[in-house]
Amino acid sequence: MSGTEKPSIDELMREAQAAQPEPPEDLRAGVMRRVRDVEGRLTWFQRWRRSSRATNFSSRAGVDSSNFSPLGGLIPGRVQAMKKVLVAASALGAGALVLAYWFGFPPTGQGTEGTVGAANRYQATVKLGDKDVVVGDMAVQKFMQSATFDRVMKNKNARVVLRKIAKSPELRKAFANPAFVEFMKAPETLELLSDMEFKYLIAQPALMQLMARPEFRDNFAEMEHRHKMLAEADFAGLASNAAFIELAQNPSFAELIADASFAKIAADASFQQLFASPIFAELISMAEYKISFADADFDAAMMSLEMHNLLATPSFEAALIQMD
Amino acid sequence: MTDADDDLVSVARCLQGDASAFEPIVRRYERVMFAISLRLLGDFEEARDATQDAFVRAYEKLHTFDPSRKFFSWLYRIVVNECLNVRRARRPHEPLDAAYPTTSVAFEAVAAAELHSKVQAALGQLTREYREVIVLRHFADLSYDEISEVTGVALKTVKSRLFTARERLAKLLGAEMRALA
Repeated sequence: MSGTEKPSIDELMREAQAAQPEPPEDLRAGVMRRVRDVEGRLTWFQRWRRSSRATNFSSRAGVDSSNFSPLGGLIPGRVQAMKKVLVAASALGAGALVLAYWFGFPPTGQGTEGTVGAANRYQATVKLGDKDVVVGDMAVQKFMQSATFDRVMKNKNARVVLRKIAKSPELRKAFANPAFVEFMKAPETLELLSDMEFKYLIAQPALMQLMARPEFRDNFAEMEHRHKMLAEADFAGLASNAAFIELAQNPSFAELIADASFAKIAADASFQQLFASPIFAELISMAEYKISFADADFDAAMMSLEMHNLLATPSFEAALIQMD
Repeated sequence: MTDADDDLVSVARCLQGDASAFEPIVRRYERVMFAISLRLLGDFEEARDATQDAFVRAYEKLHTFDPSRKFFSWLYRIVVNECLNVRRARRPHEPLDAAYPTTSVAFEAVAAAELHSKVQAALGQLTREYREVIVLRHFADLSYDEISEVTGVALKTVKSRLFTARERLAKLLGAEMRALA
């Protein structure tokens, strides 16, 4: 570019600038009208955001931002109040964090403290001797530890019979009597007990009372009208057994022999062996084993280790195997 | 208080909900912004609409304004973007108006109108970068530094670009310059 051209273009530009048209007269009014519309359409959040941005200008422009409201218009103190709310909320949050850090979260109450230092072990003042440890009947323990008890637990009929015997003190007493056990293990007796008619008779209170009378046993053979069952020799032997007579007066015995479960196991030869087992008699009579009268308690007792050991005798196990 | 401080006060009041505080800003910059729009678009009506839209958009986006920068620079970028939007909305390859719409503007002198029209025609033949620096230098009266800040281009580049733009404009307006001489 030559040196003469530059002044010319500058002069020409000045001429053109001087001839530049002024902006339309309605430009400013149109802008302000639209600006007011925009301000009216701003949401609360937009007003708040714009208002918060205005604080950046305050220090530079010396503007008191507390004179304006984010909700529109000039409402003194609104922005300042919002600032106070935000500061208070922040302070509360910080305080909560400090408390959570100091006391721990979740909070722990009394008794949840951990042990500080070594724990003190209990030390007896008197040493245990040989006499301090009492070992029970090892035969019973062995019986309980055998697989027989498991079979008892699995045999529903045996458990029902055991439960009925356990419920009745008279039955437990009877089965603890060696003479009664000897009588019960006789095949004839068991066959009789499984007879339905006998069950019917034995369930009659009047008959039981009759059988309990000494003159009945003495004059039994001379009775003209006797029941077919009563005429059998086996019943004569049964009726002459004092333990049975005593037991026959007990409703629990009548209930036992009338039970279908008793009928099932009584018909089985292995039931004789079960009754013949001294361990079984001991089990029935041993109060220390706490055979509960309640079914639920009895079930719980049957599940205990002591009962396992008690019932784990070979003879009882063999009987149960045959009952299955 | 300088214009820059006045701008910050007005902006702060606007952000706090006082829409009337925007009027001083419009009054201060409407002439130069309209001139820029007119030189970039070459159409009086389009320049008016673009300038008005730019001011309204600026008000909407006031919260994004960085007070560490000049308000004029920020507003200028909005005006330029609005002008570019108007040009993009036109038909493709449509040149700037060679003849200034004298019918819509009451020019006092026919000669001034003719000069204005020819200058506008010459500007229309420049590229956007050259036209921009010419407008900012001769119609917005910005210094080199201000042009550098507004356009975001290095000062050395501004000087170089302005030199080339003036040279090309002088060739385009050769006849008018000879007549003026």
